[in-house]
Amino acid sequence: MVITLLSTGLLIGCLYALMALALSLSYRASEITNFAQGDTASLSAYLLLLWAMNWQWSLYIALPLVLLFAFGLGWMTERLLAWIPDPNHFKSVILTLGLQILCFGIITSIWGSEQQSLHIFPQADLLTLGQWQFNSRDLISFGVAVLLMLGVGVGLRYSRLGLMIQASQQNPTAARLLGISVSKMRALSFGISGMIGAIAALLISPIVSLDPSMMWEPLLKGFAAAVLGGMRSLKGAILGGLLLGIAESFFGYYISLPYKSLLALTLIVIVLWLKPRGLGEAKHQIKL
Amino acid sequence: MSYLLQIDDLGHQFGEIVALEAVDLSLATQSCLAIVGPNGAGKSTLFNCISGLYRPLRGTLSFRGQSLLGKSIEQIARLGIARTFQQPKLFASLSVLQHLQLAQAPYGPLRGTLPLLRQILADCGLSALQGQKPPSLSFGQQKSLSIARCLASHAQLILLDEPAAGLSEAEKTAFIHLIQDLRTKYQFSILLVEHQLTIVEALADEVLLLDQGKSLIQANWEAVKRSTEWQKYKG
Repeated sequence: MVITLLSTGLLIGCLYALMALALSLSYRASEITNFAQGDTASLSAYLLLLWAMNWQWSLYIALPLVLLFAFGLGWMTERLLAWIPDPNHFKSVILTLGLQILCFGIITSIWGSEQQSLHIFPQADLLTLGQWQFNSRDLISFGVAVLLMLGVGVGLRYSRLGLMIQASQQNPTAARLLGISVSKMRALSFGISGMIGAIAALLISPIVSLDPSMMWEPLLKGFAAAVLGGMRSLKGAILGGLLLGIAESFFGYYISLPYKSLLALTLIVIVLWLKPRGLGEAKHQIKL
Repeated sequence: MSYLLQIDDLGHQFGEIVALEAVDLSLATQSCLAIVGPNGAGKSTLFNCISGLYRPLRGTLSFRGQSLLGKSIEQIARLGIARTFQQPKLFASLSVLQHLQLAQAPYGPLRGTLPLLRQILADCGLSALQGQKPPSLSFGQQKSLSIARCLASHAQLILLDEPAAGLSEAEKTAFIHLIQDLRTKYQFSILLVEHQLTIVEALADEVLLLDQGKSLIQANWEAVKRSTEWQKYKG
């Protein structure tokens, strides 16, 4: 049972970690929590439903287009934030909430509030490994999430754009003095986080079905995970997501299934109270 | 004669406080001009105007014949002006080598740049530290890294803001030799703000005396020392 709970927790934790990663990436670029992240991701999933299922486009065409759309939506969110006159934190957060409501409104007005199925994954098979059984679809989701997290980590660490994004996030003025366009790097960060959010929504869609509020809970859990790991730490956010997924899985089995969602909210309160910078952030706070 | 950097009648103020009143300056290619003057003379404001952090309210400022007025910080950097600070502005999560890669990043792909970057690290005495991150470097090593980063960005003009501040006597001597060697090899120009006159004497081809936001005299070190402006300043 422990292995089953652990594997279930890891799978759902990976999806939380993706949302946390997306939130953390945009937060590092702007110091703003992008609350539109969840509903822009839902909108992307609905677009895939429209193009791949309703219009019967090939998945090889529809999927890249959806990811491009999600990237553009993230980019546009950052541009809107940059255009706020006399910007401050409150106005910025209100703007992301406004975008969230707008995306929710677009989804409900076009697709209604009924649940819909998005069948983009192959039929799920049960795979047996010794005494344990795994769902093939879950394994694919897990693999995609892990590859994506590794890809973002490696890209940020070793690629030219990754270095520029890191520098822009750590010290914008010093980055500009090196000739780096910080505003482009911010928009790029939002674009990438939009794309990560959309992939999380597509991986979650077989579990929860498509409905306009499908990403509210994952967004909340991703936010809790990012707070737990430290909003400015990508590794911390990922670790926070995995820990939250596993903790929920055990809490749901041993303590209470209906109340397991409260765990994330409780964690947010406890972490913000005891360690407001999260668990993984202290290392890179050195000012030079 | 055409200069690499030419500044005429530059003025800047913060509200009612005049920081720069009338600064004139000319810097020839591959030369070093030291700016000296008391605290509050406007040296840092001048550096901030050249690098685009402040927008001057009056005067002209041109680099390689091109006006810098109205250009953004990153546009000015891309023209070939790099800068160091008294407290090095480094990135805590990047290694020494990555700092140099970052300096090259805005100009194109990183492929093929590694031999040049390793050479710069060797010339700056940082080869053995290429995998280290700034928090584990000494203050002197952090300053060397700031200069190595300027070289990696192919800057033609480097603004050195009090580079010897906080260095020990041995580090200062090493720093003078380092800059002299690098200038010979990489052929860049320097605008130097420095309070320590031994450093100025060792590095500068010319000295500009600045006081209360005004240029008083620009000449070679010996001529400046003989000038009445200098005697008044020292007195």
